Amino acid sequence: MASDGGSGEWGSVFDIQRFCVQDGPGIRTTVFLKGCPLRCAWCHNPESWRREPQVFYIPERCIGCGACVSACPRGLHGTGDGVHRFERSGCTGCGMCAESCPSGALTLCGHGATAGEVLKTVLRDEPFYRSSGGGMTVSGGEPLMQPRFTQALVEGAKAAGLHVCVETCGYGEWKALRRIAACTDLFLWDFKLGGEEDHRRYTGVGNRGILENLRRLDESGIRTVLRCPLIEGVNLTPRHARDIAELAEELRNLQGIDLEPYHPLGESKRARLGMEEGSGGGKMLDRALAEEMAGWVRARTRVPVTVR
Amino acid sequence: MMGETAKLRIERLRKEAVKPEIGYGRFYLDFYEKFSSADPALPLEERYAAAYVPAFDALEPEIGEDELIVGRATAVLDEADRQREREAFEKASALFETGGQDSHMTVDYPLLLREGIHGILKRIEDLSKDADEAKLRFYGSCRECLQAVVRFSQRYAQLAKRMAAECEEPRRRKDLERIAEICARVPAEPAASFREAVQSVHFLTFCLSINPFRPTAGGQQFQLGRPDRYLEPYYEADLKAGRITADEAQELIDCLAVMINRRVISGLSSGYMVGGRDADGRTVANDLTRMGIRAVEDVRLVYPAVGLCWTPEMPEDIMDLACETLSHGRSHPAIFNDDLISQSLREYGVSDAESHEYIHSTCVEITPVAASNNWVASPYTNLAQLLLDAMDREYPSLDALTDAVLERLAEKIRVHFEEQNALRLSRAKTSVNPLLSCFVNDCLARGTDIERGGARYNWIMPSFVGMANLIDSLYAVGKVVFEEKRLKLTELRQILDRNFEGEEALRLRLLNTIDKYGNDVDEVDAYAPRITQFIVAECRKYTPVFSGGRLTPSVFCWVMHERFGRQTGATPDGRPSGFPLGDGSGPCQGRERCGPTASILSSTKWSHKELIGGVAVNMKFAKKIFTEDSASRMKALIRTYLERGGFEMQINVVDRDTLLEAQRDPERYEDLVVRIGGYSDYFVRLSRQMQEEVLLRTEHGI
Repeated sequence: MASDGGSGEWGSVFDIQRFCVQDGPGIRTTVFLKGCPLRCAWCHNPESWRREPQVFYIPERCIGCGACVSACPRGLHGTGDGVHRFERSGCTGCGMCAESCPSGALTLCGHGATAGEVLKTVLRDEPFYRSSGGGMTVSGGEPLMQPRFTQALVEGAKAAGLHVCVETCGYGEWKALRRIAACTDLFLWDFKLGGEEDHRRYTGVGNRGILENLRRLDESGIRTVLRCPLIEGVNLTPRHARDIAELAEELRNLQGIDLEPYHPLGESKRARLGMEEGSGGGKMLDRALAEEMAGWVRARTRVPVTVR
Repeated sequence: MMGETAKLRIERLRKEAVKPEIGYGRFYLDFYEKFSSADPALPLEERYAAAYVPAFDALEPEIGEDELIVGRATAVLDEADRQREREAFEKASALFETGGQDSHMTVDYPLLLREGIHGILKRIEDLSKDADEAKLRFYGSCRECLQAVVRFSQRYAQLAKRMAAECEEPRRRKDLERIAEICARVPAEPAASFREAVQSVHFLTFCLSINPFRPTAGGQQFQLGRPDRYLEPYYEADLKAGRITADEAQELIDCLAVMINRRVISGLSSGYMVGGRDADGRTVANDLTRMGIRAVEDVRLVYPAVGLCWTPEMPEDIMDLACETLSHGRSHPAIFNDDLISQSLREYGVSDAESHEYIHSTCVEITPVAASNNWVASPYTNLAQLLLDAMDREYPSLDALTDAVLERLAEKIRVHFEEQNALRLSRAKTSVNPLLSCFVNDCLARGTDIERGGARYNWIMPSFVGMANLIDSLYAVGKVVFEEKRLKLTELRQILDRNFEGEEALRLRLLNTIDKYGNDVDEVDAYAPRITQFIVAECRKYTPVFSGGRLTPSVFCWVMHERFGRQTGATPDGRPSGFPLGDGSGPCQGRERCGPTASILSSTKWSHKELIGGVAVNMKFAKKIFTEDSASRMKALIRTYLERGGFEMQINVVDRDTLLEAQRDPERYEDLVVRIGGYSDYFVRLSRQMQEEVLLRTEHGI
């Protein structure tokens, strides 16, 4: 039931990207939610992990104007001996430094917004959704970590006649997922690793609940696409290809399998957040290896496989 | 798809035409010397013909290896003769007006093909019967120039015959014999085949490009109009009779396209348009429409600049072909909104039938085919400079400042109009162009040279450059001066005069933290309709000389955004002194932070229709967007833009070079998004190492 506070439902967002062409059909706007229960070693949106706003800092852009020094209420910025130092450990993400920074060296990633505010932006591109069969995609981060907010977004989008996609790793409460699914045309569902232990090792959580959710979703007739990140040294194996194919064969409403070759571009963002380096490898995955994987999967399932 | 031999021929032809020499030998030198020394008491037409004809008769024919369509000049003078030519021009140009516009039109090819030059000479004979002295002088000059063109084509026929006799390779000998036959017939006679039609069209256009009253570069920008209309009957007839195959026709179209590069120096623009509606309102979408688009990819040279006139009924396969061609990074075809443009032409007084057949005149400046002496891009006005000039005092409000800028704009429009009008009159006194006049209606019927107003349409089309900078600057001033009251307007002006010296933080604040045109922010975008409506209303007040005279505005730039940019100091939108102004009428480079949908919404919040002088919206996309199932999204984007009243769209592909540029000049590429599924980031914010990764794999969907 949509509460009349639906559009007033508040959530944490780190980007609303217009003209997305790879997160569902047609031309779409993707809403990236901030906050994720997983900690995948290869994550390309590390700014999505924590729910609260965080400061991005790009030292090369600093022009040494010192505006942030006076702006920060906790005195975390300093420009002693001409070098700008940022003491991140005390940062609360208030964003005052980013507000004062003219050069974009300091930006605040993540802000609170109501579903209504987000939908207002999403609906601006309605002419394009109509002409292309596109719509809204909710991604992140993990939509299921903000279930009421996600529900308000998808309900609002559906009420406006939009096609709705949700990108999720599937880790969350079934009840919440079911309510969201009532207004979702297509789920883009991550399948990272088959084995429970492996899954926990690389993402921080097990996958039993995730798979249960997926199966229940499928039983209710909801359409899905499997999103499979390929990481060398982790899951680029015939074994994982078999797991993907077997899962695909199980699901009756699976539309396709997207293989997503690892790319290291998230490393830049880790640096900007003052995080340690990730462990995905640092280089784009060789396309030939991804194609080989695709071949293994195709040998075992009729579900269409695409290498992205 | 063309056969192997044809493909190889076009490959060879195009390679040769990558950096061709263009030179007409002593033509200009001889003309200027003769013209200068002519008795000034003689009528202008006689002095002109007396200088033009012998110089023209001295032009040497040239036929390149592999050419099927012939007519080119590569006789560049040595330094000594070039110096003599410069001196002769100095002397002669004291006698004629060198200012004003030229070419940027399409002539009456159907007339040429239907009647041939001999048919036109017959016409002139008939018209001369009731003509007064002035008209007789005009017709006399026309006759002389037309006959010179026929003699030139005969020289080509003779050269081809000689070359055939000396040619040992049987296939090439046959080609040359055929060329000899064709040049003996056209453009003198009506065209009797597709190949003759193509040859006739090229040859006339080549001859028209040799205009002694215009310094070499200027006079060349003739456009080939609508080949998928005037060549169609010849193609259909030959196809039906088994005289030609589709492949052979494509080969000839490609040859025609290559030859454009041999008649127009680089840095200008020349091409044709396809598609649109015919006089009965039906969408034109035939084999030649497709061939015209395919030529872009076959030829892969600077020209032709091809426009596709889109209608809602344009077949999918043609849109697909266009997208595929664009995906290869060609920037053409540019997409034009046929219904919008035709409507606009009618509102400016063009007849129904004529409104369906227009040409982009080089880039986006619309003129009716076969009847136009419209002066496009005459002149360019720097909008950003007007704001800087107005910032010499304080104002009570942003509105008052805006009004002051618009007042200055009105004055500029008036002054520029009077200058152009005066140039028209000066040209009428001192210049003629009889050859061109024969092919632009209604010069022959009226017995009046085109320079003297013989054409049906004589618009003057000023163009306004830097609209995005003006919008962004007004809005920025509104914020920092009037809202936040950070500083006074004159203080800001002083900072601008010093090119933001010591005020980099302010400059970046202006640039980065204040909303910009092109991001679908209504408050900023509102300046676009305000400025364009003002321009349109002002231009309506003026009527240039000659029949069908109108002042019709445009907002495209050619290269003037760079030239003006160099002369313009720092602006309140954060642009440093000397940097280019925004190009076209979309957002400034680097400021489109919300992607192409937002940019299109911003660019279509104002009416494009009245700016028949041309509206150019440039967009950049990753190659991946055009391919596979993404092509449908590309088409949807284009369609939405057109449905919202977009005039024209020029589409460029983000390639390796773009990324390298972005590395060197990140400020102008702030809006380059790395587009990977489920991922979000900007290219210029990536670390150097990651940028290198992206460079290595540019297919990886930016």
